[in-house]
Amino acid sequence: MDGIDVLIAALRVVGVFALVLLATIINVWAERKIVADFQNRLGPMRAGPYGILQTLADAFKLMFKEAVIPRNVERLVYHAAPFLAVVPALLIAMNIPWGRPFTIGEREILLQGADLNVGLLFILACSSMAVYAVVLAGWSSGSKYPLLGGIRGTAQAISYEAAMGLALVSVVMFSATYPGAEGGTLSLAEIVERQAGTWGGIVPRWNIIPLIPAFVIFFIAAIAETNRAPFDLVEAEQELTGGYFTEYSGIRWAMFFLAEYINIFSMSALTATLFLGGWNGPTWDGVLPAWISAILPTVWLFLKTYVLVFIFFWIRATLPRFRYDQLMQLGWKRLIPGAVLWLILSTVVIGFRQFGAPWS
Amino acid sequence: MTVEVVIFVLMGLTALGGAITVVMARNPVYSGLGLLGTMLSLAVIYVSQLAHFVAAIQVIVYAGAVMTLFLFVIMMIGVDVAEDTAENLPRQRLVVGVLAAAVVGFAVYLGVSQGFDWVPAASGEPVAEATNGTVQAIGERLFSTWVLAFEATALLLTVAAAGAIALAYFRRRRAVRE
Amino acid sequence: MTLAQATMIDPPVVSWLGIAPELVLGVGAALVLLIEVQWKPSRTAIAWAGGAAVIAAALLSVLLHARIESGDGISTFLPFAGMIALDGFGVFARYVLLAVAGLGLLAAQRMVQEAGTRAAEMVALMLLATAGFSLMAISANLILTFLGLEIGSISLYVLAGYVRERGNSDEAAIKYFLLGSFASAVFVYGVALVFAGTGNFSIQGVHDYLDGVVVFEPGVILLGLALLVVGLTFKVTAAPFHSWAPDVYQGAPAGVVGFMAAIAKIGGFAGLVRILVSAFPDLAGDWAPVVAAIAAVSMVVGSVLAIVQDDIRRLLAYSGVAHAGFILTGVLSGGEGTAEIWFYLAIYAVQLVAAFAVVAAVSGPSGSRSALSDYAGLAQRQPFLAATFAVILLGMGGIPLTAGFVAKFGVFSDAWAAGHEWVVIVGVLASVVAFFLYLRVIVTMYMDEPAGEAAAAPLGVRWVTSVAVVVTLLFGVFPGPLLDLAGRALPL
Repeated sequence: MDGIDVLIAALRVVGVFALVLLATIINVWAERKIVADFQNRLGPMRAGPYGILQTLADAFKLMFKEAVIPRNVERLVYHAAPFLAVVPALLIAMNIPWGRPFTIGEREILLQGADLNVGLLFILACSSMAVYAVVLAGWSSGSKYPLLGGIRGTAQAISYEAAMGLALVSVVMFSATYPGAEGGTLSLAEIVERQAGTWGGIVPRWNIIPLIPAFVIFFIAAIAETNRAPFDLVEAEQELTGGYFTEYSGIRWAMFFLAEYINIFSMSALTATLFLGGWNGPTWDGVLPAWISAILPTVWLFLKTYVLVFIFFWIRATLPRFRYDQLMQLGWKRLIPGAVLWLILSTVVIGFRQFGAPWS
Repeated sequence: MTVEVVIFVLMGLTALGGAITVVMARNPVYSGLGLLGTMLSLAVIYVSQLAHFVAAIQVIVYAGAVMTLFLFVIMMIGVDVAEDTAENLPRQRLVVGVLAAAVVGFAVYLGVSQGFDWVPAASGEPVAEATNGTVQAIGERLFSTWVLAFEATALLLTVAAAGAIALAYFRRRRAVRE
Repeated sequence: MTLAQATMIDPPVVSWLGIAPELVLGVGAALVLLIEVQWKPSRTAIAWAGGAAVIAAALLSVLLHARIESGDGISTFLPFAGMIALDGFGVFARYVLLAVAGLGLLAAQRMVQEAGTRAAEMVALMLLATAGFSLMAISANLILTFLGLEIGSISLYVLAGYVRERGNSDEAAIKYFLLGSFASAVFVYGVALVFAGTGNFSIQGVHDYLDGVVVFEPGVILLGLALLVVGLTFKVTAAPFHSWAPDVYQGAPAGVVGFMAAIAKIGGFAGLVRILVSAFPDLAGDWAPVVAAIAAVSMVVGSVLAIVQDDIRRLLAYSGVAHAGFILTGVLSGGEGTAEIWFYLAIYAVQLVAAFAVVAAVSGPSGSRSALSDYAGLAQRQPFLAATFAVILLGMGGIPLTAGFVAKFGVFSDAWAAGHEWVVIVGVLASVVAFFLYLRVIVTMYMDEPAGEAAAAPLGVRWVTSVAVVVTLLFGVFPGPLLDLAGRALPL
């Protein structure tokens, strides 16, 4: 690996970082505007055209605000928790292929922080680490509301992680059916490439079409994992005055906020990658100028991602919050059995189509 | 010194540090965090051995699920209860320390006097295979050589589930302490 | 992908009959749990379902035994890629384990009735414990041995804490769990070191490696072997790894203590004998002195400490330590003593279950009356129970004309022949001491004035003690058939 490779790798990492930050700034504003529209309000209008600079203004305000640290906190953990929230969120974003790899000279450049051969598992690992931020922030604040929020968050994350993982298995198995593929794959780049092409020349070969139950389960679990409405009991204002980050303020609070929006964005991008074909889409290579063809996949991915981000906001504006027992009921009695059933069904069908009947 | 050795030494030290924290920390939450550190260090060592799959499972299962549950339980029970450190048996710690030192000393003596004869890549299988998709390699082993052991773990999980229900699903109707 | 590519995974030789008993037990446990959820049958029916699974497993073992002896339809004696061994050793272990499971279920009748909504879990856990230790006995691979050990042990941890009404049941369970997990960890560390030293998990592989290579620096292997021995001697309650046994036997619910104690000993010894005799015969010079020391310490500690106990459960626990020592003397002679070890284990396991069945019957509904003084005058209150208990205790003590004598004679003569005379002398002295302690219980039952009221012994207990008496006397006078059967119980 020579200097240029290192530089490219660093650029990729910085690029993804910048991307998610920029997306967060836009998403916060978009959420406020969209929810305002749902509620027949205007939303932020003052800072910049249509209030688009509102998030920036808020960010500056938070940065310069005094950070109040209550007396009872466990210092070390209290200070570490916000970072524990942001780091896994960024790591997930690092692993998503944001566009089609392209070549400059002899170097192939991936639009991805890193392509791991166990990428999917890596993402699951990161999202399971994210719960530590909630639980530790809740505990270290030394006050009862955050602790309750933390405990809720732990139970919720564990419950929905199982359904999420089970839903993903069928994606991996289905990737083995791609023509010429030898076995399934856990690499996200491979999963995207195996959604290229069409069925019968019309229907895009996206995983969502054969695997729609898995998509539904995964997306519900993704909403729960990001602690978004209607699964936001972790931070239910009416009951917990703010949940696990009640005792945080200023920039530390902003980091939790940032992590949540990065998670929304990267979970949407991940869902798009796994089920909606990722960056696949018409690029008209040779017809359009090469640089447009190179950018188009990224554009497709962003379009798909933002459809899902919009659904996130839409659900938030529409559905009331679950009660705790309803949350557990949905997780353990609906989603997990559903995911297992779907796993069995898809295993049998894929096995049958791949290898023929067992008696043949 | 290769990168691998550096990683091993660093992560070995953090793993040991975490393990010591587990035992020494006054607050059970810090014990839990120490264990978390140990698990994550092990995961990094696995990665440096090219066992990516094992590393990911280590993080998902142990760090992500098991430790989260531990912390959950610690917090549910309440961490403010200070442990009673008064000893019922005087000098117990001293005796245990001496005995433990003797056992460890004997083990070290045994090892050093007899020498350590490791078997590198013992079963004669090429290590390089690990680079080529560890998931596939593990899958193959799991469903050929180790299939019975793999299925036996199902019994283990049944035992765990039935046992947990049996112990927890208990109405304290006539609790009598004797 | 085509079918040809798909089958690039090399499928191992599958022998369904080879694991049929464990399969039946596991499926039986699952069925018991599921049926209970769906149809809420009576607790008696649940217990019968468990019994049916045990009987079915036993019948399959007989079938398997016949197949193994004749070699019909068996393509390999090491199916599942060498994970298990189809041999007389495993089959005999299953006979003993299943006998203990059947008797244990009978003895635990009252406890199943009282377990309320948790009866099914209890029966299922007993079945799974049997399946686990059975896997351990047939395993030809250290990893599967560990898995079997864990399946069995974890079931027993739960059973030890089953009666949550009593505080000391919780205490017993947590004590057993913590120390037992520690021992399991020691065992698995031993497995890791043996793997590091020999590059093999399979017992055959370890043996072949040690046979074919002159290891100049066996430090790692010896350390691993030592840890394996420690982990397993913990499970069989050999001194100095016995300290948990009295507390656990005292606190655990009376109905299952006998089952727990017996089945863990069988599984532990099956694992120990297979590992020492099949995997490490070449290192016998290294492990024999250690095992001899453990055996001697166990015999002395168990016998002497049992004398001073005032609680029948603690007394039986310490006598169990002594018995573990006696059985370990049989291990000293390497493969020669396997038959005698099995004979001893079979007799002792049945006696142990029956003895604790009596304890459960005497200790009453609360399960608390297990002091030796509660046995005063038992002969007048419950003549049948006292008489059978006396015979069982005499059998444990090993007086001539009981099977206990044949068993002790067998292991001692093996150890003597193998040149461990001093262990045998210690053993004979210890058995004399131990004999007095059994006599003490009998004297209390027959000579002392009756104390307390007579509680009727459940039918199940009567059956169990009757079986144990028959076994003790029959094989004491005619040991031939069982010795013959045990003589064929050799590891592959």
